[in-house]
Amino acid sequence: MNAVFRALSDPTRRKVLELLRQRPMSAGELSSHFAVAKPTMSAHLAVLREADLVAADKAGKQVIYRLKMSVLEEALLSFAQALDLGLDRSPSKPPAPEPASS
Amino acid sequence: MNPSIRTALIAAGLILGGAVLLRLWAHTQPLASQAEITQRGINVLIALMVILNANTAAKQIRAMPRCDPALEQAARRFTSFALVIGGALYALAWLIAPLNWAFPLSITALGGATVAGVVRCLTLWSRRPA
Repeated sequence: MNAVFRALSDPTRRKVLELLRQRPMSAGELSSHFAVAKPTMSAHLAVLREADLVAADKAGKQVIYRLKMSVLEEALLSFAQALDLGLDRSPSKPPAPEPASS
Repeated sequence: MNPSIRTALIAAGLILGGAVLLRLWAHTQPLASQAEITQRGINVLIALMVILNANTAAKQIRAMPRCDPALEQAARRFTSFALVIGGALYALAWLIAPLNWAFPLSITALGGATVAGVVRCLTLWSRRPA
């Protein structure tokens, strides 16, 4: 559960989850909504995958990210969005970026 | 042991253990209310199982090649939400409503949630791309 709270504490990752609520998207599509470097975006997605909030499926050369949230986790996301909860107030501070996988 | 089998065994143990504890506790109550306590308790346990399963249903990702992923995700999320709310209302009905009202109220709540889920799935199915 700690990983879930950590994942939801960042506004960029919350925005990613908001986008994935509409439909599954590729890493490139997700990146186009943010002014962050690709490795930074990959790091954010890795945090979400680690928290088991998104699932990544390979489709050809692309990696498609799909929402993988329970009802309770979605309620927590909505709560965090509504109150703009952010333990980390800086716009994007993911852990050490990993090499981009897609 | 397979994690899903272990989880299922733990859940079964909790249900059986809960039922036994409930039965034992009911025996400490006046005779007139024992049957009511047991009936209410068992139905609250059923509601909790519905809520727990519905809560994680949206997390069960299986690629369905013939389905539009966006529609499939929308259907799964809506159905999960509806069943969690329906399950919560079912539990609430058995916790606070008079006994003769609890059954129709709880069935209406859970049945309504199920129907809403089915209707939503059919609506999304009719909107699928050709």
